[in-house]
Amino acid sequence: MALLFMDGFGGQDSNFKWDVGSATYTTATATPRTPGNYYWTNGSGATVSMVKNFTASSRIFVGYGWYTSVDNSPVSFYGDGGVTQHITVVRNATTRFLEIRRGSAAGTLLATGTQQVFNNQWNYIEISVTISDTIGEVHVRLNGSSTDEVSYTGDTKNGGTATTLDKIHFTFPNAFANYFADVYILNDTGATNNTFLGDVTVRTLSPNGNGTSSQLVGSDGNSTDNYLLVDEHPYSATDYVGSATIGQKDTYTIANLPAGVSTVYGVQVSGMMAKSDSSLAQARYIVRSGGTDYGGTTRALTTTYTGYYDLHETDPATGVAWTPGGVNNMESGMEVM
Amino acid sequence: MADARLGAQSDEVLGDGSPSRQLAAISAESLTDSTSPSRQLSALSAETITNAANGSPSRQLAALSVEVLVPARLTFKGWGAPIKSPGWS
Repeated sequence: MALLFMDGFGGQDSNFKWDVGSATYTTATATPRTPGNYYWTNGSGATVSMVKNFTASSRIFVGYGWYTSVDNSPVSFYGDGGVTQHITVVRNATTRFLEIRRGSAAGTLLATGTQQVFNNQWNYIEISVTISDTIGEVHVRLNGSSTDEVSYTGDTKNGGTATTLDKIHFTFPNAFANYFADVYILNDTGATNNTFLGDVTVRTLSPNGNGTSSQLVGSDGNSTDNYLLVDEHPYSATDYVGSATIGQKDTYTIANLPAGVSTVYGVQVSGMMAKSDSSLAQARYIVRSGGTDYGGTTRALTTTYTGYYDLHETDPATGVAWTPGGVNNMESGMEVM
Repeated sequence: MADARLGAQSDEVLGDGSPSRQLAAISAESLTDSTSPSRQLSALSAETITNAANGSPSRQLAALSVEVLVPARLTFKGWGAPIKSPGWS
């Protein structure tokens, strides 16, 4: 797998997707980076962090949209099980140039960019990091450019033992407005999605119609138009579909991508699932493509609604990258296991 | 046949011979099973761990969304022709 994670924040379930959520987490649409998209905000008055742990990887790429009123918001890369803080990329408070530092935002300055990253506008930042005492690399790109805004080769290993990375930590340390959008994390394994993607966006598509299967029973007591019970974001615990009968499932049609999209890097199914009572109860998401239902990871549910997500880099019906048509024709839903 | 005779015999003992065995005290202890004690019960309750009363619980889905990672579409609000973004037709 090359693509490890994405979040467009439109599902408004990020407290489950990220390893450290926050009571101050919220989403907004007032100042979207791309038309109609959601973004994460610290609410202009909160000091928060977003942390994501991932499979230990020798080279990591991350991309994210960032809008700030004044903050400098360092992003740090960790190894050794999230313990060793190797590299931090941070905007200089005075010059507004991006800086690469070993260790924390106060660590040794390794390199400085040349373009100002201005306040009160969206920027798309991409960072790649490898860890070594001698030949480590950090590359930072800005707003989809195919050349580095700032880079460094040399000692990127701030102690510790492993030369892999397994955690990224975005910090919003001051009480200023910070927006955060369209996040991807990938490594350099696999045949695709193994390098910078450029300026990308994560489109959140909701159920918009009945699909091929309608076997689950809704909280309204019937199986009619069940998609209307699962299309709201954030979720409502009193508005759901469900069943105890193994094998029963619902699938729903999904809203189309905006016209004009020609490249799809990945598709992620997200939702909120729970069980109605104690006893083992499992379920999984379904992706229906090319007329066949493909099951995702089977989850043992809890009695509290929990967010789960399945990442599909390729269309299971074709085994290759999704096409916009494949996305527009897909169905998704849940199957009782 | 020679007449074998014993003219003399003596036994020499070094020391005081067989010492006195002295007993100053004696008692008898026995390791046995105890008498059967009384079993006393002052309170009782029963807890059970079972599967749920209704057997298999319902699996519930409260929300579903599909996120798709695609190239960002740039918007050009100034003069001239719109910029065509990579990955968009």
